[in-house]
Amino acid sequence: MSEIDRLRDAIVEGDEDQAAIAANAALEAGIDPATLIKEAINEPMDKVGKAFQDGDIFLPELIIIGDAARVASDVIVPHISLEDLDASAGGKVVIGTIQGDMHDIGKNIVSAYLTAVGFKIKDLGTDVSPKEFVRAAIDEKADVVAISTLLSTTQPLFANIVKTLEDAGQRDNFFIVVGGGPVTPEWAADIGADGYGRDAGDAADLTKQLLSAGQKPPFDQPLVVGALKQ
Amino acid sequence: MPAEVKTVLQGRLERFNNALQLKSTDRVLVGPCSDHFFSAKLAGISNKDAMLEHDKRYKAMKDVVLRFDFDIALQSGVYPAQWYSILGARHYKWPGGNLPEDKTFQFVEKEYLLADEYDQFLANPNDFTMRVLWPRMTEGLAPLEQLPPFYSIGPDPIFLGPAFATPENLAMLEKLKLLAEASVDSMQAEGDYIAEMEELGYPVSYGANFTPPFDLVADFLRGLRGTMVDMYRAPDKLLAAVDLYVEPQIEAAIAWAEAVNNPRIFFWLHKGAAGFMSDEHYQKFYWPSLRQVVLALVEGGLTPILHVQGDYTPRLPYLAELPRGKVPIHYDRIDRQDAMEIMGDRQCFWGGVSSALLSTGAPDQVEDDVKELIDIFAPHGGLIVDGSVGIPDEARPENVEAMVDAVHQSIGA
Repeated sequence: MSEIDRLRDAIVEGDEDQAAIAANAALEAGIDPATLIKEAINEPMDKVGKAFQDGDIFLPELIIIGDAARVASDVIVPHISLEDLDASAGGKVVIGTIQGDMHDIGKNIVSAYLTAVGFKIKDLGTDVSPKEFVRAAIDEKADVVAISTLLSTTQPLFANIVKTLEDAGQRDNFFIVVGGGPVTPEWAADIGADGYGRDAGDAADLTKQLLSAGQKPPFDQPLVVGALKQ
Repeated sequence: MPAEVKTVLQGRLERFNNALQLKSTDRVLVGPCSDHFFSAKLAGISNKDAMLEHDKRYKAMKDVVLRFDFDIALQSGVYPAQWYSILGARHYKWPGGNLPEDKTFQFVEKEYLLADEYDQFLANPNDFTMRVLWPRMTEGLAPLEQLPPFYSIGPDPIFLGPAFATPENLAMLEKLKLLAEASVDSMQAEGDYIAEMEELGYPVSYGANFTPPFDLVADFLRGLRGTMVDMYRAPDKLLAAVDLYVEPQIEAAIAWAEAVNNPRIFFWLHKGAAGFMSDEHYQKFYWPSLRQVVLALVEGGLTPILHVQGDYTPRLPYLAELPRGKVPIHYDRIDRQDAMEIMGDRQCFWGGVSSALLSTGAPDQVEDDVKELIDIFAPHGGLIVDGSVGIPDEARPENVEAMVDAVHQSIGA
């Protein structure tokens, strides 16, 4: 079995300890770190994401596999040149549930899913104020700000995030995506978001599409992935 | 109670019980299981006041039952704000406490029990709950953290005096007294509401309510992420923690049902729905403890009602194992055809009209949806139409009216 296969197996089995050992062994064997990220982490993680969407694996598996991928990635990334790092990174997402809302199950699933498919995640938790979102986006040099809610009364605060970024002259540095129980594509358009996703799989597709669109934010109309079901 | 009112009440109760037990009824029923803030909104009461002022809240609930002509009186799904504020709850946020007064109350889920504390918890759950969990969850019970284990105070209880003789502990005892007094008040208000609704001829939907053992651990101890990881990293400890709650829950449910003289006990199932875990994990971690509780209550002549939150379609075969006509299921999201096929002749179908539809749809859409429910389930009996989690706070009143009208039209048809 090759070192790449060993690492891939450890990740897919959700074995953090073995993932760290296999990642170190692969580096010691002289395998190019960027190749490791691509073949041992990103490619299998795409399959893991699809398996979750298809109902072949579930939340526990998604979380432990994502954790193992993160451990391996932490070992490998310091060995990658800045150029290769840019090429291999899926992008950085700052995610949280808006102020006044403590619901986080949906947000956590999206967070776990995005981690599993190769994005860097800064999860701000729940009850996050617009200022905290904006500060974290700037501090973390995020590509995407993902905002979640289960409460319809929080809509004005979503709009505040957009406005705060505009006022700070930072709007064109971050894609803003929204989702959650009462959030609709129309809501996304109303507040000037760049994208709407219904579930975790949609959020990953949406993020990938935005980052590969070759266009800076803001979008005139939000990119909508996943239909709202009643 | 006048004889004619008693007859009306008994008639409604009999119809309700027949529907719950999957016996034939003269018609389909429409009745919400519970209410958060829909009634308060209609009455023009803020969420904050609805949680603080019990009389206003219960009057609003009574008005809703009468206005929409439901078949049963709904139960309150909201605990009094005093319970949170007196203790200085950190594990909840509520309107008028640490949230604006128009927001709903919410649970702050996190790992109150850390992964490496399982052994300590399992070795002595009483001690861990009192001296570790409660101080983490509330400011008011923080002094418990400083107390020694109770057994070490000594077998002689007179030494409890010196053990509690600090300003912090005295303040904590005062808070506990206030909490108990606030509970007497709110329980009295609930009792008065139930009595008043019965005098108006309406039985209340349920009395006691519980969170199943797995969800207790997943909600209050380990959080979603912790629990999901534990299924792989600490499966035996997770199972041991879940099992710990089975017997106490059975005893508490029986005692509560007796205290409120209502055999109908509502269970809120959160984290066993589709997507949360595989069938194999559901079978191992979720179902056995729930099944044990439910069967014990059925054995005791009680009626456990399972509210299954999320998409429960893949779990229907488990629900079908339960004794026929003894365990009504209140559905959130479900494939109706599968539910009919698997559960149609097993248990009562309660709920099913989506919150999104009631909140954002149009009356004719609601009507069509209810007609579909009636077409599918009414022929077998045991159908009680309701929102998917009772009536949502944001429901449009005209949609609730449409839901009731659709049922009433079917009666006339």
